[in-house]
Amino acid sequence: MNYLYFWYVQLLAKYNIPKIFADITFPILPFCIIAGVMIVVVLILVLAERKILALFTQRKGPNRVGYFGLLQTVADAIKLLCKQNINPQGADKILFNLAPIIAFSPVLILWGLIPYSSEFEFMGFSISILLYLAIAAFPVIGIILAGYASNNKFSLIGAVRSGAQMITYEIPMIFVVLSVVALANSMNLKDIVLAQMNTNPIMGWYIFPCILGFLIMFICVIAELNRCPFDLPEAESELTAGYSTEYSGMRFALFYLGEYASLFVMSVFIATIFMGGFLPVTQNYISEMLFANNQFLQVFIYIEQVMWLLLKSSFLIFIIMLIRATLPRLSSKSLMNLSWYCLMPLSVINFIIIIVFKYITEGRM
Amino acid sequence: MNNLNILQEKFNSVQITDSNKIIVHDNLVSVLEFLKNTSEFDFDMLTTIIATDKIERIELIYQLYSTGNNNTLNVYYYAPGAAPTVIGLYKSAYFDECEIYDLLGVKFEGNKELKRLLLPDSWIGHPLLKNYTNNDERLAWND
Amino acid sequence: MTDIMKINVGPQHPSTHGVLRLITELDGEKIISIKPEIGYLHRGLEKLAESKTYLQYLPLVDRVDYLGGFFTSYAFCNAVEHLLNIQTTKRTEYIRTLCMELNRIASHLLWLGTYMLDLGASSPIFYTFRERESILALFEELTGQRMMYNYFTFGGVRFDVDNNWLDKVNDFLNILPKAIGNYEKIITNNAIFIDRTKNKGILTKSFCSKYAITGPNMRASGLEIDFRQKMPYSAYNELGFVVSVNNLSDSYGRYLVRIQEMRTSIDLIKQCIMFLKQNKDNVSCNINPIKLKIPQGEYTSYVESSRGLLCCYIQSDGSEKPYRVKWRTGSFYAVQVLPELVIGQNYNDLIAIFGSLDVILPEVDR
Repeated sequence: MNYLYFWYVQLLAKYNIPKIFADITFPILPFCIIAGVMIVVVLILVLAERKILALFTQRKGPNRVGYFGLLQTVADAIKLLCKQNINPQGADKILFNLAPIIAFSPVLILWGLIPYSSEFEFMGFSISILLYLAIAAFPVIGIILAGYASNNKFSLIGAVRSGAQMITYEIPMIFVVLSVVALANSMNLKDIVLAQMNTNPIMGWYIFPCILGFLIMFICVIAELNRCPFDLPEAESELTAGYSTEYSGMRFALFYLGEYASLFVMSVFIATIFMGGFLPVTQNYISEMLFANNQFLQVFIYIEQVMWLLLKSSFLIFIIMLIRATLPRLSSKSLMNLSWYCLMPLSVINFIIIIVFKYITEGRM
Repeated sequence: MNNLNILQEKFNSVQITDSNKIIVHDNLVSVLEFLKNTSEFDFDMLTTIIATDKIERIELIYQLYSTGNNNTLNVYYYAPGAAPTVIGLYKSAYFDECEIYDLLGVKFEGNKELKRLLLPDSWIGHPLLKNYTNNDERLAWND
Repeated sequence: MTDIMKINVGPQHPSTHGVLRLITELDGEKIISIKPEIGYLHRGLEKLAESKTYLQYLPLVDRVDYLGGFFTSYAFCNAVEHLLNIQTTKRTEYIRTLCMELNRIASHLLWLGTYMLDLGASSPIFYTFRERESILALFEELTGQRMMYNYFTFGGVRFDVDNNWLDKVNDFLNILPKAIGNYEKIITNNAIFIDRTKNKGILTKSFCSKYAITGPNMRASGLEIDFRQKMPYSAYNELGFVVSVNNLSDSYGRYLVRIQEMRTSIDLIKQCIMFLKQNKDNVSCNINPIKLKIPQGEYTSYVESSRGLLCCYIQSDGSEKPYRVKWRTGSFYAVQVLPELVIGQNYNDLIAIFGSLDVILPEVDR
């Protein structure tokens, strides 16, 4: 981070801008970057999902707007922005307008908590993993508000289902995170990543001692994202579109944006705590070989770290999309049973396994 | 069917015209009950009720089917404007009776939830009657 | 104790397969009462028959069940032929049987895709539509239409089939079993699918007869009643086939019966092709359909359509227009049984159970 800071100060100094300005703008800058990058990432994700689903179902997917349909999601986004915002009759106007913002904005903070590279970390709290979990549970409030305020029974059922699902799947997830924290002896996400360093680049990953936890976490994340097969809150065959039934235009776009942004950030989170985060899969950084004598070697290494993280998380996103293309929706009863009777005990067992593992490998609790 | 004679013996007024066609003049429900519960007949399914406007009266044909014996039987009943309901025997008759009430105006006595099934509740007249003319002024396409 | 929530499922709802309205009362998510409201797709086909000649009515017949146009036209043509007392040639009947069985496959494929969509799986519909597309292309080549065929006429069919078309059908039949196997691979043993369909929507034998449920829904309840076999019509008495039946009585059983029926249909079509390749009969009778006057009488034709027993009742008064036409369709009765199946179940299972009955609304409202 210091490296970037000095680089930024020098850059501004070149144009005779005082250092105080750099001090003020530097902390804000990351969020501007996040907001920009997020839009781009979501646009790519939506397109990727449509292309991947098309691939699984032997279709072509969007292929008319732009080269290979690359601009399709941009066109869709513009269409959504131009659409009329409808306030349904009898809706609670304030809450109805507030709900998409509440559902979307916490995701922005989540993006800031992830260590994208060893220096490039916007908010490096010592308990960042705890903060992450706390804020990740926040968007559901927006969804419940949306269902409550829409004055639509389908929305209400969808919102209630979403709330129940959130509570149910949060608990096993926290147990799994607890075992990761125990392994790393830290609640800082960057420390957790660095603790996964090993002589062998892959063997240090927490996915190996904690494979059970990884699977539980993966299922819980899909459930929290309300994605297939846990998409009961927006089950279109019974609830039309669930909580977002009455939304249109920009407000609907915010829900949509939030959904895909959290899909991305959740996969990044799993990749961070289980798959070594920004650590390379190869023995050394590829940049070290390619740009060994370049003065910007360190910058290249940072970029490469981001790339590794993206690569790992895109693999997870691909799996999530594959699951969406394959499985039917769970019934609400088995949704609850899966968490309380299966994932809950398993996550406790996983925690015990990790403690035993830690005791054997390190000789102390 | 030879054993239709059993039916004749029990109900004198039943007229057997064909091997699978009988005409019932009264006691429709008890005839159907007999046909359903007697093991020789075992007509446990009412496939449909067909109603036809014969100008002076309405002809109801109860098409029975026996899942065990693979027989069909058409029970004819002439209703001047009302007929007894058979929901007690065949639950599937509910929609049929509602439809016939809707389209031909036959009242089924004993069917408490008789309502218009296909047409809106506010529809005037019963379209499948031969003397039906659509003179509902609310319908723009009337003329 | 929560308040009872009244919710209107339909008539504009993504998965009521048309325009069905279900007035549902929920206690939490538990269904405590449900009332099907039909009639949103009522086109008055029975009334229309009174003002049209038999030939004019013939194209409308396909619209009774748009997914099974051949069944309805066969039922109508068969009743008319019976009243006219004309004998169709064997070749005609084999062509009709072939078309009906292909139509049955197409109809079941569409059901499978939409049912999986109801259950939340988005992919299978594309796979089933891919195969259905091939069938529709074959129909288009034969009849010139993809859905409303108007292909059967009184005493025959409109165009004869040629060996080239039969070969195409045969080629398609060779890939279809593999495709069906592929669907089964992703559906039959899927734990979530089993969880959502096993022991859901139990339709017992007595229910079937009480509510006049026929077709695959009935055969999944252990009643081995297939009108193709019980009252053979067309060429079915010369073809050998096994009626698919099982005792599960639930949504899963209905799924298995339909999958099995598709396989049976493949066998039947192959037998038809074998016959048609050797036989060189005529496919029309010497009647003038325009001046058709049908002698006084009445007849009900029984046809096993993909959605159950299809009856076409014609009463003729000797004129060129039918005095009364009545359609008895399978879906009409399947809608009626829905409250018995879903009351007490979770709202989540409403569409899962309703979808398994394979109801299409044009057939209900006519």
